[in-house]
Amino acid sequence: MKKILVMLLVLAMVFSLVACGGNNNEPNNAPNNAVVNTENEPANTGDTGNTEEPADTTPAEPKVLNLLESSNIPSLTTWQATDSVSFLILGNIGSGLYTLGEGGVPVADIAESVDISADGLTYTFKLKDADWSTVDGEVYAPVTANDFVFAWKKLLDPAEASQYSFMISTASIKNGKEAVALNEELIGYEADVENLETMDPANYEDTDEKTAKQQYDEAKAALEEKIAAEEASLTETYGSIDAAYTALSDLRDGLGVTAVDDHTLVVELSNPVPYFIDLMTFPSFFPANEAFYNEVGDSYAKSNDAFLYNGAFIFKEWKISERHYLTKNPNYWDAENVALDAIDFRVIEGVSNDTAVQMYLDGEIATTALSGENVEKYGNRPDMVPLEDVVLFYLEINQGKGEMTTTKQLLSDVRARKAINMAIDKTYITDVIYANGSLPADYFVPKGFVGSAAHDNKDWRQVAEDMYGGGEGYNHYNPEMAAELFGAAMADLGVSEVEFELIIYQGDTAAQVGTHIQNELEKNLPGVTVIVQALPFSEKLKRSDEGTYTLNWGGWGPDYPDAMTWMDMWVTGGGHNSTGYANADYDAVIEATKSGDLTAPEKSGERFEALVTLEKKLLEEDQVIVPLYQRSGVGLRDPRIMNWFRQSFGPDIIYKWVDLAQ
Amino acid sequence: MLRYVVERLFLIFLTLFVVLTINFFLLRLMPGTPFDNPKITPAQKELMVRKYGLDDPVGVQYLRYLNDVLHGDFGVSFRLQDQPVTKLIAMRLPHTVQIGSMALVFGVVVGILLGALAAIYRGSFWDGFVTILAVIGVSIPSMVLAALLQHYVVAEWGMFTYLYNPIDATRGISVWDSLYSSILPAFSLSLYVISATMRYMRSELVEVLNSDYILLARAKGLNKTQVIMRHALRNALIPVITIVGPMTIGLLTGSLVIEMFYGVPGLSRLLLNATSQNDYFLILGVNVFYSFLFVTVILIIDLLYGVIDPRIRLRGGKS
Repeated sequence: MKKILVMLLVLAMVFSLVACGGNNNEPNNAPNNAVVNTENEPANTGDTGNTEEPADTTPAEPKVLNLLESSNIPSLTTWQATDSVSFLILGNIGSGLYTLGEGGVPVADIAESVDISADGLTYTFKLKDADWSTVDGEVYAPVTANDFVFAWKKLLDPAEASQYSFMISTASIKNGKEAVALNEELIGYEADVENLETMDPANYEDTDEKTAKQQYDEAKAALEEKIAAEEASLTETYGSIDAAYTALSDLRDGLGVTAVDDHTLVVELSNPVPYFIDLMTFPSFFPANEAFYNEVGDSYAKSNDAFLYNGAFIFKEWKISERHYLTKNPNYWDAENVALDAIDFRVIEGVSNDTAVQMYLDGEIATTALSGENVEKYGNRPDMVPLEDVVLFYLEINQGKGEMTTTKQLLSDVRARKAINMAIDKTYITDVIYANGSLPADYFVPKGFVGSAAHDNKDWRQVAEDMYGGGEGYNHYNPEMAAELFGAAMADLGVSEVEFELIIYQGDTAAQVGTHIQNELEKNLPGVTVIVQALPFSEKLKRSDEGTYTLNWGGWGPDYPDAMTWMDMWVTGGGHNSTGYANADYDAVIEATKSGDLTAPEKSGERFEALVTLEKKLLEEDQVIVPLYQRSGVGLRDPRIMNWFRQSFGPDIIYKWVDLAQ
Repeated sequence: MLRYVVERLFLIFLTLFVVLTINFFLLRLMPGTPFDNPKITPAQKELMVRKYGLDDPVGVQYLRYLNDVLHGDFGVSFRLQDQPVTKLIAMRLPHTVQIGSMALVFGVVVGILLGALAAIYRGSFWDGFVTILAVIGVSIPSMVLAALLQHYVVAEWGMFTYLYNPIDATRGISVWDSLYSSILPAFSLSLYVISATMRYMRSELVEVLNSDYILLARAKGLNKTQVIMRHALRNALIPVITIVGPMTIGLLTGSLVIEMFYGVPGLSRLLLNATSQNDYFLILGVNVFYSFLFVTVILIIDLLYGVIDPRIRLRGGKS
């Protein structure tokens, strides 16, 4: 009997092992050492199950690009989307007037032609014959000029609370720009009124200097004064608060975009916008079919069958957290020039770089980025590709936002701010910590981001070099000078010790960067203690909005290909300016280059130089921020992939151009 | 019996209500907001807050949420296209259940067999082997095990797959392919189950085998196999079932480490993302769902006791 039990047990174990190993007849040896073939044969040897037949059986084998995505799509509604995953999909299943081509050049998509008035204020677009397709590949309706009017007005619709409504303002579309500004003003006013109502003395505590009551009274008085000023300003312009709301509603309705007929779209601007055509490639400016929108109601864009496709691809399968499967849209106007038959994104949320690299080496995906030690491990392979980027990381210096402290007082002295920039050896961050081609930066407008036609198409940084020797930026690493400047600022303020709160991103690499900055500042600046706080993103954002920080490690990627996307961040009271920097001269240049006289088409060279000069002011003279590095990366990519143009704003890749050599 | 079940169901309802209420208010103490896009201005954030009614007093929001829940609406995710929370949970659940149930069945069966083996051959080689296995099983972190399995089993030996593959007709992944790819994650999860079940089984069976009624059964002339099968095993299983309950919860709610290593689109990943993004209703939904699973499984276990051991049958049963 003992034997039977033992036998049973052994059988159970053997069975489970056999069952587990049953399918295995394709050993996959030591992929770490595998060399991805650089010949014209598929890297995919058929063990991944994504192609049914070997390459040589039929010439018509579908071209499927296998990719990996680490996040889900937050929104497919063009006026709701705000993130890179949504924009990537939208930019490929939808079409706007233009799309991004090689080198980030706008290429006409739905637009057949454009007529721009001499003053640069009126754009008349003629549209191609294009169709909306359903998910099943059936033609739903033609794309008309009204589809653009409908979608753009949605950006301003109060019921939609569109987060990217600022794109209307960026494009300076007539009445839209004004509506966005007035809306912000009214919301700020409403929030203040509400804050006044909910103010509670219990939220204040006695300090050495003031009692809770005093603080409460002061805060209340300040808020009341602010509200009175806001009311006065609104009343002066519009007659009354109610009239301001009416005016807002009128501005929204009167957005300067008109469908003259089905094929003619006229856009009127408040001021010339040198990058208007570029903006038309951005998914926020894509059209939407009103009839379909009304037909599906609330479920619009929440599933792939509640959406219409006018782009090169159709979103055939949308499995949240599993798969995004795009197939070629047969009804796309330029379908014959779309090479890929399908794009198959495997979705694995938060996938580790190790897994991604392994999948690439196994031929399951066609490209991957490298990070951490994988950079060193695989960076020398022949299929390595540099991933140049135009995202810039920097430290915001709080020189007065939020409640005033000694530290902020110190940092309102430009010498102290310059000292911080000069005290940090940025090459350590780029060469030792990241070691992936990222560039140390003493500049703010990234290299390779934008050129000037009026300067022989020279890059921004080259023009800066020619004008001010600022090609590599301003105020370079100089620990001795840093100590001197900082000591002087401290002495004038009469303090010998200060504490910096440095808020950083979470993660191992981020922690290394944080520690490096901490070490450099404590070593090179006398009397400084740095407290590093790694915060969840939303908390970090909240702290910078409130101004409860000393140094905030931030990053910025462009929204459109013009230096303005970087430079207007630092205007007085700007939504992204959490430094407390307020400078009327700075604001004046932004005003002139954004909507003033320098926007005239014939002044483009002058405008460019004005902005280059402004960057010099921002850094060399005022050191509002401390630039750290321009992000870059390296990756691996299947050599069979052709026309892989990485874009610096909007959708990362336009797959319409991509081809796969057989 | 029926009355007992009804009473328990009422208690389940009450428990869930308490869980929901506490969670609702606790979540509002989390730092940050669900809207953390650095590109949007404070005014636009304010608009988002209003859109989802987050600017109302918390009490009002709570009553509104309760009302929605009573109508079967657990709210929407702020971060995922306003998708309904229930839909998001429903999409994740099958994957977690697939792997969890594989791990549970495999773990409990192997655990019971090994435990029984160790008890019957107490002091032998098998006993020592099983004990060592148990120690290893509880002490290796699943993270380490998953990494080891991926490195040796997949990379070196070329067996199984790195990643879990959901069933997908277009991609040619059948039910069997999917189950095949679930083996490693399930095995990684099951090691703890095996160890725990084994230890309980062994100690219980040893105790039962030493009791008087077993001696009586032997004296009646039953052979050892009959004694073990008919009398000993059944009695030894009761405490094992006690631990299977909480283990089931653990497996059904998923393991973050296993999900991350094998790319499983499961529930714990959903909860983690929702938490890091302050996606209030999604966090609430998942937490309430977890609690629901917990209390339900406990109820089932309690009812199972009665089936296995007539002595514990409750009110209404024959005493």
